[in-house]
Amino acid sequence: MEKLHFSFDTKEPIQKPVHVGVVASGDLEVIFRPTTDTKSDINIVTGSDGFKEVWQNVLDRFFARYPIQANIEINDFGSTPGVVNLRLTQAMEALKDEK
Amino acid sequence: MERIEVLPHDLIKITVVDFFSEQVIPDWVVESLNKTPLVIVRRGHAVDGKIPVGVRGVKREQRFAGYVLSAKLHSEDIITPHSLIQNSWDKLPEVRRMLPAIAAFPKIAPLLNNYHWGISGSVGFELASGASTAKSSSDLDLIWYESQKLSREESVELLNKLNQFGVHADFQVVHGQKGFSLEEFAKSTSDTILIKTADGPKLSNDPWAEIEKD
Repeated sequence: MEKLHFSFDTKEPIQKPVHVGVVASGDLEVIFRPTTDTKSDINIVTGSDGFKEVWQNVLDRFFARYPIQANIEINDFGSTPGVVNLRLTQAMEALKDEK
Repeated sequence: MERIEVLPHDLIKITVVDFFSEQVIPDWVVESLNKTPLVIVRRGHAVDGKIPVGVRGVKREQRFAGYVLSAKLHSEDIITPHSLIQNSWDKLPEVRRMLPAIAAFPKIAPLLNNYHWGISGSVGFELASGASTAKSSSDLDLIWYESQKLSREESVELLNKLNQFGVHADFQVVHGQKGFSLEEFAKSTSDTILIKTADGPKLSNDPWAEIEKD
C-alpha cells in the first residue's frame, strides 16, 4: 500500500462535496470536498505501489482541463488509468449536476 | 476441434509453459504458476485465439497480465465462479474457513438461492486451488450472471443482507463481458454508473440495459 500526495495551483473553488466510485477490486472511490485553501490537495491511498508517475500524468491532464479548487481524496483498489479517468469525469458530472 | 468459451473471472488450469506475455515475465510469476498453475480470465477480446488472462501473486499488488491460446484449452480445465459454490468450501482446512471472507460464504450462499451466481477474487481462487490466497482483510467477491433487473430498493435490501456477516461483499452484476457494481447502482448519487466492457470502462445512465447490448 502506498500513500501519495499531489498539489495543484487552481482557481475554481467547488461549492459542494461529491463522492463517486466504489470500494471494489479494480475500482476506486473519488471524493471532492470544498476547500478554503488557494490550491488543490490530492491525497491518494493505493493498493498498487509504484505508479506515482502514472497518477501524476492522470492528474496533470485532469487539472489542465478542470482547474477546480478542492480537497481530493482517492482510495484506489488496483484500478486502471481508464477507470480512474472515468471516475474523475463522473465526479465532474456530479459536481455540475444541479440536483 | 472443441470450441471453448470463457468469460471474465473464469479460472483456467494451465501448463506453465503455455502462459506468455508481451512483457518480460518476472520471477514471482513463474514461481506462482509453478506452485499453482491457475490463471484468471481478464476482460477483453481474444484476438488471434489469445485469451487475456492474469496471474495472481502472494501480495495484493502482484498481478501480471498475459495470454493463453484458446487452442490449448480443454473444457475440463475451466473452473467457473459458479462451479465453486458447490462442494468447494468443505475441502478447505478449518483454519482457512475461519477467515472472515471464507467464513461468510456458507452464510451468504442460501441468500442467493434464486440467483445464478458465482464467487471470484481471492476466495474464489482459494476455493479452486486450495492455495492460501484469501487474507483477513479480503472482500468476498461475488458475481451475478444477471437475468432480471433489480430496483434501487431491491438492490439496497439485497446488499444489506449480503453485508451482515462482518465482511464486505462486492456484488458484481455481469452479462457476457460487461459488468457493473450493484453497490454503485444502489448508492450512487451520480446519474451514471461505470460499466466495465471488453473495450474498456464506460459510463451509462441505464446499466441494466447497457450490459445486455452486444
